Parts: sequence; structure tokens; C-alpha cells
Amino acid sequence: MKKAWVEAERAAEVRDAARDWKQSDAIDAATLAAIEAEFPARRVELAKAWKVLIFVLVSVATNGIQVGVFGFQPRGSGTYFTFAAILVAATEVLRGSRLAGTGSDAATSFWAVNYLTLAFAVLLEAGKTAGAITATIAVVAVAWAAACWRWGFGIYGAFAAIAGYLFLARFPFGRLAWGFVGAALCVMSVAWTGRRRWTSSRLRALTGVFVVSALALYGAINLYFYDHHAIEALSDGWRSRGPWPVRPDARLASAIATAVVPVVFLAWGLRARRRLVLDTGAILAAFSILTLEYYFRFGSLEITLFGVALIGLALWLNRRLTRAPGGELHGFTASPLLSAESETLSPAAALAAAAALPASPHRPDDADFSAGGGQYGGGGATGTF
Amino acid sequence: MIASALGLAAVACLVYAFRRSPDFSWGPTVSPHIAADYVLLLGALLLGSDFAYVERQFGVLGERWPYHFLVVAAVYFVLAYRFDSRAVLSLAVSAFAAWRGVSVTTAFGGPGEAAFGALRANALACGAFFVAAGFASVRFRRKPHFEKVYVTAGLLLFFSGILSGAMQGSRSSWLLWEVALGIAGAAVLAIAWKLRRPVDFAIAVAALWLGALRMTGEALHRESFFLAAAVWSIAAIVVLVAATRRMRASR
Repeated sequence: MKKAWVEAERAAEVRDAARDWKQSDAIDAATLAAIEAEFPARRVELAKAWKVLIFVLVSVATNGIQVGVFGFQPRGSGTYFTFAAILVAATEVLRGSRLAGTGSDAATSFWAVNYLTLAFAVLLEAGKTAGAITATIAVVAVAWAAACWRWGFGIYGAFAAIAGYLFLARFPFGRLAWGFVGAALCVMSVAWTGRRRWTSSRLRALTGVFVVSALALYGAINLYFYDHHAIEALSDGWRSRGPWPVRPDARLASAIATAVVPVVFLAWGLRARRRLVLDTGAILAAFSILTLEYYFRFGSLEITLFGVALIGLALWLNRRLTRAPGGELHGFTASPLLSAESETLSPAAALAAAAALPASPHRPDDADFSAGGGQYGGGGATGTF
Repeated sequence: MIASALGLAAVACLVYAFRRSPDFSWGPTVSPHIAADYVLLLGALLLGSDFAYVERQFGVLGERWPYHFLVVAAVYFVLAYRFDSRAVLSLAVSAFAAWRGVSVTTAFGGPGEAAFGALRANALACGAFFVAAGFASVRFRRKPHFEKVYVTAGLLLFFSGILSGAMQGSRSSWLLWEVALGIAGAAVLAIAWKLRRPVDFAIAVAALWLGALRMTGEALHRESFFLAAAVWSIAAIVVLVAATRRMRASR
């Protein structure tokens, strides 16, 4: 990412966070005005609904131009490569303009990667050989990763991870690779989210990689996936290899892992105070319960009672946290953390704000905030406020 | 048993929300805790599920079963006003629109030309009713902050109704609906511009864009249509971005 893009992204994050703080009455109007004056808008700021609308409009325009200029059935891959290159150039221009972040640059970059994929698929004749399919999936993974790194769209990190796991699944050791790579990327992505010098968009990309990797790891060990050869079915020429052997000891290990892995994620999230890990653990736990339901078939009454019990547990936890001294129990709180939109402090905004503010090891004498200046930096950008 | 469990859970949630809610007011109230808002929403959804379950299992309303949407909508309206919840109001508005939609489709024995006509008329009427409710909220100062929910839902329904007429086949009265879309769209654009309401402005732009695509599809085909669609899309983007900047600058 270019330095100017990083600075613009950081300024937008700080402005968004400041507006949330104002809406939550954490700061007053004068402080908000001071922050907004120090971090002037470098981009056109739009609501999410508008961004979605502009994404749709630019997508229609992009594909309309492609079909209108090159026709429905262009010859060879050259046309697609040319159009992908045009879209890459358009994205570069849009990312550096005031229109960055309006949905227009997201649309051009999204279609750039898709047309690049299409170009490689046509070039390699992906429909004809299994090797060509594998090579095309590899290109997709690299293209999304490069787009994520260059333009900073967090969701592209998740797309790259999905394509990467599909690529690994093409080989006979796919299940093993999903397990080991998934576990390694889970640990690494959580460790990397603590890096202050990374931009918030890259931190969002790491979040996507973490969730996809956790699901891949879980897919590798889940009993249902093992019994139904879900990963092996994605591999190259798996049908020609005959019946897949099901080993009782591996099945037992898979059953135990299906129960244990969600608990490990939940314990990790609780111990590290990481909501992302905790939420992912909860999702995996839900999948494990579904797996259990598949093999043991609960009645609707049991499911209803289980749901009611979960609601009761949530209310009980909320009650304990609310009534704890200072509203905090072992580092957990039920209080909203200053964000009006989500009622929680967005991790991206928190990190952007943390990067924007100078380190303050001691509590200042004057607790009241005043916009007196400071420095921010990271991700290749520096600036003052 | 299931109905009782759902009902008990819903009541528990509503009691929890009631005990933590501030007194009723026609103005906006401050929620004491985020949990109360979510529990209220959960309670409302559980109540709706319970009504649907009871109706599905026991057929309390018989052939008039679509009326259970109206009952749900009425309960949601009461909850939305009592607890000052825009989220529950959105559910109420959706349930009300669902009542009209399902009632019409059921009355005509399923989808068909006549059912589509009646459905369109109901969408237009519901849209107009919601917009009027929004104006009334502000005019009589009865939860004036609910106005945005009413007007946005109303405009979406109203334009959906007109667009469904404009999207009909070439042998229908689609052109008349296009004219209606042009007039309504221009009126909403003008009002939204004057009142500096970006969401309503965007809804009108999106509706006019779809109408323009429909009209272009009648005149152009294949590659030339796609090029024209690109031109319309770029025009819509330019209008949206320019309008946002002007609205922000004039605030």
C-alpha cells in the first residue's frame, strides 16, 4: 500500500472512531470538531448502504463495458488479460483519489481479480485437465492475496485463504495440510494482529485469514467431514482411486477432536481475552453440536431446551458482570465499549487510534482530553496531529 | 410443550427488558444497557416464532392464517412504541407488509397475473401509508425519531410496486409505470435534496436507474444494451457522489 493510502485510511479510521465516541457521549462536540479538524477527510465519506449501491453500479458499469466493447464471446485469453489490466489501472487511480473507500475501488479491484482468473482459466484450458484446475486455483489464491496486500481490502485476505485451502485440498495430503496449515495460520494471524505498525485493513485481512483457517482446521478433524470424505472429494482425481478407507482409530481420534477443538478455541479466547477467538470457538462449538445431532438425532424438545439454557446462561453471565465491582470480572465486562454502531469498540478503530496516539506509560496529570497535538505513524506512514 | 417453552422464553425476555426500560415517553428515551435492547429484540423474535408455531401446528385462524402476521405486527408496534425500539419497529413494519403480501397471494390461490396486480397495489398502498405515518410522527411529535424507519420502508415498498409494473413484458402497460416512476422519482429526489436526506435520495436514484435500464432494454439489445447500461451506471454514480458532497457541504 502506498504511504498516502495508509495515511488516508488511518485518518478515516480516527474520524469514524471519534464519531462513535461522540455518539456514545465519551467526548463532547468540541473535542469531536477538534479531532475532525486535525484529521480532515481526505476521501468522500459515505454510509455503508451507499457504498453497497455504488459497488453494484460500478460492477454493472464494468461488466457492461466489457460485454459492450469485447462482445459476449471474446477470442482467447488476451481480451480478459487486457480488461483485467485496465481494471487494475483503474483501481490504482481510484485508491489514490477522493473516491477511495466509496465502493467504486472495491468493485474495480474485485472484477480485476475475477477477470484475471478468467483469463488464466481460458489460457490454461481449465475445463479440460485436472492439473489446469489446480493451477488456476493457485493463481486465484495468489491474485486475491496480492490484491489484499496492495489495495488493503480485508475481505480479500479471506478469499485468498479460501482459495489457498482449496489448492491444498487438490493433493492427496489435503486433510493433513488443512490441519497443520490451519493451526499454524490461526496462531500466526492472532499473533500478528498485535502489530501496531500494520494498517487496520491488513488487520481485518488477518481476521479473515484466522476465521477461514479455524474453519479449515475444524474441517480437517470433524467426524462428519471424515466420514463423508469432504476434503478428499475436492482432490484431483479422487473418484478414480476407488473406495476411501475409513480407519476405526482415525475415526475415534476425529470424534474426540470434534469435541475438543471448539473447547480449545473457547479456552484460548477466554485466556487471551480475544473476542474473535471466543466467537470462532462458539461457532465451532455450534458445528460440533450439529455433528452430534447428526449421529445421535436429538428431538426438537431437547434442542429447544438447549436454546433456552443458552439464553439463561447469557442472562446469568450478564447479571454477574453487571453486578461485579466496577462492572468488571476477571478482565471481562458487559459494558458497551464506546462504539455507537456496534456497541463495542471496533478492533480496527482501536488499533488505528492506538497507532495514532503517542505511547503514554504514565497517566497525565490533567485527565481531560484536549487536542493539543501528537504524532502517529506505522505501516509506512507518519504524521502529526 | 414447544409452544409453551417459546412463550415462556419470550415472556422472560420481555419482563427482563421491561424491568430495565425507562418510563414511556413520546420522545426518544435512553436505553440503560445494551443487553436490554438485544433481549427485547430476542423476546420479540421468540414471540413471533411462537405465534407462527402455534398457527402452523394448531391452525387457530384456519383459512385466515395470514392474519397472524397482522397480530404479530400489532404486538411489535406496541413493543416498539413502549420500549422506544427502532429495531422492533422495523420488524413491525415488515410483519405488516408480509400480512398484506401473503393475504393477497393466498386470496388469489398463488402467484399469477391478477395476484401480481393486487400485490403491486398493496405494495403501493403500504408504501404510501408508511410514508404518511412517518410524516405524522414528526407532525404530531409522537416518536418523531421513528420517522426515518417509516419513510425508508415506505419508499422501498412504493418504488418496488412501481418497478414491478415497469418490469412487466413489452405488451403490458409498462410505459405508463415508467412515466409514474419518472414522476415519483423526480419528486422524491427534489424533496430529499431540499431536506438533505441522503438515504431517500439514494433510494430514488437506484429506482430511476433500474427504470432507465428497463427502458433501454426495450430500445437496445445485446452489446449496445450493455454499453448503455454502463453509461447509466456511471451517470448514477456521478449523481450520487456529487449529491453527497453538496449535501455535506451545505450542512
